[in-house]
Amino acid sequence: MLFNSFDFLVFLPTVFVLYWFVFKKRQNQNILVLIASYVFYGWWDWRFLILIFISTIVDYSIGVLLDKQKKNNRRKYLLWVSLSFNLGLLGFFKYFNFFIDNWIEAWSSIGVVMHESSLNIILPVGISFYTFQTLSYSIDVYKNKLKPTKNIVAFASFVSFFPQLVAGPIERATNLLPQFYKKRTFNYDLAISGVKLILWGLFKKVVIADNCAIYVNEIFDNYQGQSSLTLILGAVYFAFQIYGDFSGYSDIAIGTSRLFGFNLMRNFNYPYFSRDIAEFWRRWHISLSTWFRDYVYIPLGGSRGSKWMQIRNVFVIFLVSGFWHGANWTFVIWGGLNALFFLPLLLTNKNRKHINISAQNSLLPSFKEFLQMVLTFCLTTFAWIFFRANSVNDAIAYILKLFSSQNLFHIDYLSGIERYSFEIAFLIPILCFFEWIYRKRETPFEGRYKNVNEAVILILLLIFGQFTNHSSFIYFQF
Amino acid sequence: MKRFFKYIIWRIAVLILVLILLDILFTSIYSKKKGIRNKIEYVFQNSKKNYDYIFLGSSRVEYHIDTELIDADNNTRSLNMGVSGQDLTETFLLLKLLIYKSFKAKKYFIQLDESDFSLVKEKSFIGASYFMPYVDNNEVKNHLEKYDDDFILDTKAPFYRYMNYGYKIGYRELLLKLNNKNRRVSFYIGLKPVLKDNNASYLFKEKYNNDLLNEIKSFAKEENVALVFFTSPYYNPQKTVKFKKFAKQNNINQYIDSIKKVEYFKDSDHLNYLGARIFTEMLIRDFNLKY
Repeated sequence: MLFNSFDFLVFLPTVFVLYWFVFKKRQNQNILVLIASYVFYGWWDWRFLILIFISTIVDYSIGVLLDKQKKNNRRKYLLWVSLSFNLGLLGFFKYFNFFIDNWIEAWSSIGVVMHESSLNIILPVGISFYTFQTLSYSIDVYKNKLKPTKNIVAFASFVSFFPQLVAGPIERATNLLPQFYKKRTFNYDLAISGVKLILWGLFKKVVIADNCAIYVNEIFDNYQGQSSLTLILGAVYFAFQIYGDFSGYSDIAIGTSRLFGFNLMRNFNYPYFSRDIAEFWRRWHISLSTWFRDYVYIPLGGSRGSKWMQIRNVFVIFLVSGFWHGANWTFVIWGGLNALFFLPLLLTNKNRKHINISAQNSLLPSFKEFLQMVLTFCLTTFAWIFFRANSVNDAIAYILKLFSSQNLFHIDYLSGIERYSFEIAFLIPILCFFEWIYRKRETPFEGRYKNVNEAVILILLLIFGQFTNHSSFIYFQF
Repeated sequence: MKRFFKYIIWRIAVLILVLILLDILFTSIYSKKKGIRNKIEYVFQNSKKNYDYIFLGSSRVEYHIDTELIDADNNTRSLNMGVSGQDLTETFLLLKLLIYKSFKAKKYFIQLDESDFSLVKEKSFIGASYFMPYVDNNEVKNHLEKYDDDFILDTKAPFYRYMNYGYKIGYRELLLKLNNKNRRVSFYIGLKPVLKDNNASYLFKEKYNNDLLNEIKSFAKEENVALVFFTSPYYNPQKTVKFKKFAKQNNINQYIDSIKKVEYFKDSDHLNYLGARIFTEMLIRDFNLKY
């Protein structure tokens, strides 16, 4: 079930009313959340439910056993079972065909012909998100950071919590699970902030991302015949498409959770106003970045040890993060590029230079800050080309074409969709304007002009929103 | 909770008001502003016109029937009313509107796509949707009531139609209309690209339903209109035996495999302008369209 679908428009108020007016007790509310989450997830394909159910049972049981087990060796063994199971699940459903294809290709490059044996595996929606969430539970229980739960309904609801099940934020058990133990009372301010986040998220998804998607698909699918400027615009549009799509989803997820009295972690914090790559990664997909930081980077040694060790750790975390996004070398290269961009900051010890949002005490950024933001945006956009391209060869060809095209300042008429991309030219600045003015807040629907802004965004949403031509959320595939 | 519901109800009221205002704005611009952006507007802004031949159908008329070629060196007047994305229910509505607006023609040619005969047919107007600003017109309303599953939403819910069919009649089309970006005079569009893939093909489904076709035939009989049904060519069509039999039984002149060379196609179901000339010549020859 998509957030921007008619089904969800019926589903959400129904669950809301049942939650606050019928299932008033905590345990009953958890049962309702669990049922609603399974309905929400099963809407795609009921077979996916088997997988999430097994995953829940395995990690719940491991949690219980870890609690009983005092011997370190056995506890470690149990952790390994959890890691193997979750990563095995992810590996099989997401990466099996990738490894098989690469294996066959590697042998064929030295003349050994092997038969194709890829399996027809359907990638369950959101598997990367909920496996990481359950992994965090097992690891935290193992490290005694969290007391294992004996309440299977609460645990199952935590694993499958529908607002963030398919595309995050990837919640830590330490944050979300305890919220299932607490009695919930309706909080007006929390609910209103949730509604505002949903509206803002919808705007970013349906207006920004889905309009950009129309042009991005056309430009990337036919890059051979496009001018330099069109290719540059294609990459810029994709930067805003993926931002609108993913941060929009996250906002709707967080907003929806608030309607039920839950607080999820913030996933995006105006990343395109970052002044360097390190800051960008503190503001982009925060739940994944901090997951990798806590469960991969720090156990590897983090920023301790020699410079070489630090460089190794940075590359590991970025490459793994890239690979997490998908079974394609394009994602690995995207991760590698980000690591490369990060490297100068690490070597000069400037990777924690920009902690606060830019232009902290003024309306406009300084010229230096502005240039830093533009440069960071250019670097991330360049890396996005690999992220969006179908293959590494396509990405390289796109970049080469970008620099070799003769008509540098010519904007192409996109014949496949019979249009110029004129509306994006003012929709993106509108987004940037609101984000910049309200960069210290969650949404533009706060402060003196909150009602005016709400009306403006609502009208823009209705007029410019892609309601039938919408693309699915990009991050569902990860 | 009461306060929250008050907040939500207030927002919903504002939303409904905005929807109504936007609906009024869009509809009045589409229906009152002169200038022709699409063929449906052409019908609504004209009446009592005489033609020799009028061609109706999908993109496989719009891109395939070179009416300038038919009329060249002749005294004939032909009109290409093919609309990209249009299916048979929409073609039927366009036929009705043409007749009620007194567009006279010696022959109406109706092109039929294989997909028009699907066994399970979704009743939708997603294809062309240029009719939607005119839902208050009785012909349009009555037709939608019968053939549109979303009739209530499309005709009663304010602004729904402009959101649901935004790709065709949304803000973009509206801005172009406001900016007086009219369509070029000729309604025929010749496509330039050439199909590159020799292995492309079009696979027929082999099970068909002719209910709608029979309804069109009955309508034509009542209105005393001469209809000719035909199908346009596909590139490398596969499993065509049953369709050919179905076409023969229903008096459909089929040309599904009449053009074979790849250089005449833009993709597997569209001819380019070279193919369109050859196909139009075939129709001229077979139906004696030249005096």
